[in-house]
Amino acid sequence: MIADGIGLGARILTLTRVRRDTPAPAPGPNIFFSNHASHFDFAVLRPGLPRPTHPVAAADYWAVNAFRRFLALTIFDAVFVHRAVVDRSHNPLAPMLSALDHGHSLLLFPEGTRGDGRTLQPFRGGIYHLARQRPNSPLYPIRIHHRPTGWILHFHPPTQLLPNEPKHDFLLRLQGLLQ
Amino acid sequence: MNLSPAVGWIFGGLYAALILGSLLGFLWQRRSPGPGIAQVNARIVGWWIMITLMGLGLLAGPIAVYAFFILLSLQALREFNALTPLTALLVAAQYGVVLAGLPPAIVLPALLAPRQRWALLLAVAGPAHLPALPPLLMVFLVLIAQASDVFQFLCGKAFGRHRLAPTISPNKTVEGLLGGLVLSSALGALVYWLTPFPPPLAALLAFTIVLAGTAGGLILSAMKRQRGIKDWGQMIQGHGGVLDRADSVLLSAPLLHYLLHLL
Repeated sequence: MIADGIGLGARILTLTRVRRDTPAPAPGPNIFFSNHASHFDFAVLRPGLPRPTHPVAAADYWAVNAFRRFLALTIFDAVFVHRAVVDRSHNPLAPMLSALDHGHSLLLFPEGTRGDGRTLQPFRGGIYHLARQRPNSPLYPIRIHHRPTGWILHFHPPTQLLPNEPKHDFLLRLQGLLQ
Repeated sequence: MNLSPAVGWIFGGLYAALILGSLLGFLWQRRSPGPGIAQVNARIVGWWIMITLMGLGLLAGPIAVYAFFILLSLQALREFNALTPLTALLVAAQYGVVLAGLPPAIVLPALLAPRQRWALLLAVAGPAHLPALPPLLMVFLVLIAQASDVFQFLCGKAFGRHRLAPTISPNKTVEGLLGGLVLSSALGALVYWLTPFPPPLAALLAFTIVLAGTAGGLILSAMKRQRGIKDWGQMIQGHGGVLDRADSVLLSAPLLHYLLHLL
């Protein structure tokens, strides 16, 4: 409810327009991924995504204080990814896999951090492991054009991990879809 | 500095407004001379000088821009020092902190030196945050802050009824502030192409700049009031000292800097 209000406000402030080159996605589980340049990115995307969709937020940024945690978890219904601790007992993908298994969708920013809005930074590997472990969840690229004349959300047709596609090739292919 | 045609448009517009203002001021002075219009005309002459200085600085490149703000910072310190003697060691420490990184520069004065807090914050940290902005946003900030002063002055003269803070700044009115907020936000939306943001967001930035600028002006006015002086100095004709003119920019520069990181 509050998140919808924030989303609407952010869309007005950024004069966001939507372009869909794909039919509306099935209720889920879907994996949406997008380029990232602003804290408004998830807010403007939210009204265009099926419910429930959880944004994947870096715990090392969004869980550091009570206010950010509240914003991420309570307002925007985020799933945390703990990037700092990776070993056999801490699988950073576990919360995301569980969300997908419940039929929920995810929104990832595979650059891992906000960029300058013009160049795309190399994708992190997490989205590959997610696609490999849940091959039936379609991957929807969403390109956000951060233009001063108004932002454009461009929904592209879904893609999938190809059989035997190496990690590096897969990540490069996904990056290409957002360029 | 690699500047787009945007800056040319801005300065063209500013000079057009100055020519129009000077002409109107001259005609008004001829028809009904008085101290009020004389003061307005003196301000217009001051704006010619300031806008030309800033334009030359931008044309000459980043080193000239830094030199401009270092001089501004030193002059601001001189004006503060005339009022309350500053500790040389603290000032030197604050310059050092600015070189080390901007975020601690706004935290340190509050912790270290309660009596010299505003001098360190406004005269050293403020000017340091300005050239750290992208050049076009720096132009946006200075333009909005200065235009808001003009708008508040004009709206106050036209509709001013209720004083905003009678004990601190008798010339500021609620109507002037509201008019300044509305007109400056509209100007911000109009020159959104100086920012990386769409017009509504640019208007919101302008709104914030005006609020912070007014707060900065009130803080400095309160300090002047406390010592019983009217102006910080006589740097520019009709404008008083650097602190009288730049007060609105100095507090909003750090704010805009961190707002950019948030957006």
